[in-house]
Amino acid sequence: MSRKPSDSHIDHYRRRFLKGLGGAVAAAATPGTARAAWGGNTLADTFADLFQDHYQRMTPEEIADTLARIERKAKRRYGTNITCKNTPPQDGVVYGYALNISKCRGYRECVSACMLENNLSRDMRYIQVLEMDNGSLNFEKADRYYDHRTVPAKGKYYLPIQCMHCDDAPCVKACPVEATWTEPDGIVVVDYDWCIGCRYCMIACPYEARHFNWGKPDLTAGEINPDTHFLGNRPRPTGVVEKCHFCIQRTRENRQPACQEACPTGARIFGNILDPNSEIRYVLENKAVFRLKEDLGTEPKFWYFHDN
Amino acid sequence: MACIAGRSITHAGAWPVAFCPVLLLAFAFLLFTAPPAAADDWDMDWEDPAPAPGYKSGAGSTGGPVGAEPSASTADGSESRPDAATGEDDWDWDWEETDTGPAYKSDTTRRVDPAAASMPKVPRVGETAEPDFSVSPKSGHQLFADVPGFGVIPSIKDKGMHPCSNCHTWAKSNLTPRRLRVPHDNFLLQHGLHGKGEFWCFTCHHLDGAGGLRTLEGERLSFDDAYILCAQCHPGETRDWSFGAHGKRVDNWQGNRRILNCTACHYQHRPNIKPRKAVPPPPVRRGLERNDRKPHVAAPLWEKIGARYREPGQP
Amino acid sequence: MLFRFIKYAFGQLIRGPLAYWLWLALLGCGIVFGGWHYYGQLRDGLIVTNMSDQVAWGFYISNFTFLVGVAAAAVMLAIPAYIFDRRDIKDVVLMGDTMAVTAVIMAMLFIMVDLGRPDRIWHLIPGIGRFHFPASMLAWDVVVLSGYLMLNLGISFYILYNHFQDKQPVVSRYFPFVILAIFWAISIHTVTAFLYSSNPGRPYWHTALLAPRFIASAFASGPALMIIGFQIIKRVIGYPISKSVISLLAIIIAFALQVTLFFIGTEIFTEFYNEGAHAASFRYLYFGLDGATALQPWIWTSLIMLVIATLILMIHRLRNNMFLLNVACVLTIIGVWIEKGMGLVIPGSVPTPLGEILEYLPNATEVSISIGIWCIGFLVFTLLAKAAAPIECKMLENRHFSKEELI
Repeated sequence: MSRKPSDSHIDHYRRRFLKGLGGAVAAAATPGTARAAWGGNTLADTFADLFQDHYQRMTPEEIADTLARIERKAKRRYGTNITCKNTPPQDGVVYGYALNISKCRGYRECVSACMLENNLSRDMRYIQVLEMDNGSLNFEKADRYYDHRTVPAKGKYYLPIQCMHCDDAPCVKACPVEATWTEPDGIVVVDYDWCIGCRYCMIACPYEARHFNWGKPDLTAGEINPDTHFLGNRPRPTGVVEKCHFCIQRTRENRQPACQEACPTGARIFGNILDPNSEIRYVLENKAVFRLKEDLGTEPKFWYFHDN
Repeated sequence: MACIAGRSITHAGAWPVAFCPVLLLAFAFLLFTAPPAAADDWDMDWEDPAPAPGYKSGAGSTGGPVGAEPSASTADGSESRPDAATGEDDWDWDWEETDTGPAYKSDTTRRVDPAAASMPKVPRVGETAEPDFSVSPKSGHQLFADVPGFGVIPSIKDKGMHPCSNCHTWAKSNLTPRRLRVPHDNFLLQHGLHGKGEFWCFTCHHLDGAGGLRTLEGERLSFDDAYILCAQCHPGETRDWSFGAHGKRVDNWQGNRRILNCTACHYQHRPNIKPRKAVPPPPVRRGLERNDRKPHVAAPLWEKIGARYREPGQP
Repeated sequence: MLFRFIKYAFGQLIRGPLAYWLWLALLGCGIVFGGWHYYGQLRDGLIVTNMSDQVAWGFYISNFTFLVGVAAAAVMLAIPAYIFDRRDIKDVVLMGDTMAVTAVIMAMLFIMVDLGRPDRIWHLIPGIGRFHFPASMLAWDVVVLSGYLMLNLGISFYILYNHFQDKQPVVSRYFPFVILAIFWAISIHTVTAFLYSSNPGRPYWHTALLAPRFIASAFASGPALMIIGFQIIKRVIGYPISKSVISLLAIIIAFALQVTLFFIGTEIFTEFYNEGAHAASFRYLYFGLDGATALQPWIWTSLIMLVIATLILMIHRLRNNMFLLNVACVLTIIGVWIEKGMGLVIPGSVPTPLGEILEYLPNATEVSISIGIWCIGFLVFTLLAKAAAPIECKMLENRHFSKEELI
């Protein structure tokens, strides 16, 4: 992350301010550091939560501390041992997604796999599968709650929609505290510990890709996926916005995202759009592709295509 | 039996019950010997709600690249043509014992007991269980110029997909090319043209054993090279598949490219994927109720315009 | 001297008739009532409201939008007072500023209660936090609202403090700030409109007409509130209000309402002449969509109210009737509150960008918390007016109003 030089002195004072606070708190909280008498957060952890810095401004040591604290909190909250990673982006990689709408049959396997993988509150879904009328691309007539005996239903086709990871994302522009930004590998991420919960990004998003933790996430211990990433599927607090992050905990380790893995029809193609030999580049260069609401100028990195 | 059905047959279609009591006995036997997990459905994995079909594959691929070695099967044109074999009543089903060439390994090496052959539990997302790729698939064939290298995941489903031996250990095979009737049409050959009497068993299978594959030109193929067979009639799909626009890459998006074989998703005898139940619809935020929206009746534009031209009173 | 001023102001606050204390007690009850519900919202999260991922902004933001308009409308006193040098308006301009200050404070409170993590509000402070300025329109809104609050407080304090010392404030010292405040007032409502209209994914808001519409309706609702407020101040405190002030404000409302209705009409024409998917929100609002009609009664009530108010205000004889004028003002306030509040915010999310219809109406918690904030607003206004009015009244004593001049 490059920092403007003019920021440096502000940064200095900010750090001093936060350090001062943290120091005072640590001094006050030393007896409680080991374990809080009431079994909840220790005082030090509580204050560290309260004054946690923005992800992009944390030093590696601060990030390590934060990751450890996140793991401790998860243990306390869910009784589960999770690992919270901070896998960095890979050089020369920008992720893109292509979805074959002639293959999608509306099974919603991606939807539930995503929910399980990403520790979503059980009343939240990152992916909406819209059931569309043949011969039309009118969202007003779409139905995301279809519940037929079998799918695909006659006269319908299916259009899964998730975060498009726009190159010029309106949500990133909207955030008043820079709690959401585009990573170098093109993933639009959220710092759940920095979001103030104003929900302006949800208003700005043309794809309904952002979701809010209205209450405490509805998640039980047994359902936790312990493989987590700071910017990805770690347990979320109440009152913050979250969204699809292309399974950052998987894809940054070269694995396919959960929705791709779960898709029973092979409709989903994920890859590096900078790699001319990647599958996604083949699709983009050889198929008739389109993007939803491309006219809004947000440059989504999620394409749809048909067979032939 | 050369081909052991890894799964019981409980096909819901119209089994001619009176057709053969022995078959029923065999069926019952299989039902009891097959592991419960496998005793679900004939259509099994193609309608299995588990996320990824054929995703976890344990068996290694053994076939060699087509074209790299000329198929060493002794099959010449006359032998492999069904009409040439017509009249050969005591067809030797024990085809493993026939001489197979070096480039082709018989199915014995891939034979597994029914329990192992049953569809492995596909790990749900979030489970730590890693798919076992200890047997690395062979590198891809150079089907098209510039195709990026790939390895094909052998489809373990193949083991259970050859129920021929259920009957043809004792029933005579009629090798006359013809449109198949009962019982075959219940579980075989609903594959486009194939089921319409255009193709039949030995269009794709080698004569010296129903399990073996052959190209239209008579070249022997391993089951793991089934995609080459498919490519004969579906070059467009195969091209998309080999470049990654069709089918499915497993495990990673970068690095060793391993893709599922055609037969992992398409049951070769009935390639159309059957409709099935979807995962339940999403909820709205807890504490709220979804508006009861009337299911809207979709009238495509052509019907709306067509209605204008229709005479009043006519349907 | 400053100390004396503060002492005097506080002295005013703790002195009052029984009715004053009862009024404060009533407001206190309302605040405690709202506060109790806000405590519940803090504890459980915004899940206690009726908002959802589909309709992420609801009643709080609706009130916020309306109140920013009220705040901006103070300019309707500042312009005649300072630009056209109307003496009678200058006499009341401080009361208008008080109303603006109150409205800004309430608007900020409505934003606060809408936040999912109010404990992280410090993330907005530049330097310590990360303030996404100038990219984020919400950051702009924070800047313009707090700036407007500062400007109004500063100007009011300067004038009041001088009046307290029986001096005339030096015009050259505060006039630049007055001019700045005039532009700033327009900007707060423009920026608030941009908050909505900058979202191409929400066609209902994505129109350049939104800012003019906002300003027009603000210049109707703000003066309407002032007319009502001034009469109350006159009655309760005995603050002299000229009839000319009222008639000027009434004419402003009449103009603003006509422009507002014209804007609404043009929007309706544009959306419905060739009705596309972009008109779905309009259709939902005015006629209902797929059987969802929750806002329909509201918006028609609003429209009818605005039309009646416009008719009353357009006809001289009716407008000059004080009772009918008050009726028109009340109709205007409620009409604009619906039109610019619920009628503007909610249809932006119904249907959602992906065409889902999940209807929204505020639940008891949201209404309760909003009542609490309105009570805070009334309290702030009462206290500010209570402290400032006597100083102004003293100042106005040497002006000799004839009985006919005053309302």
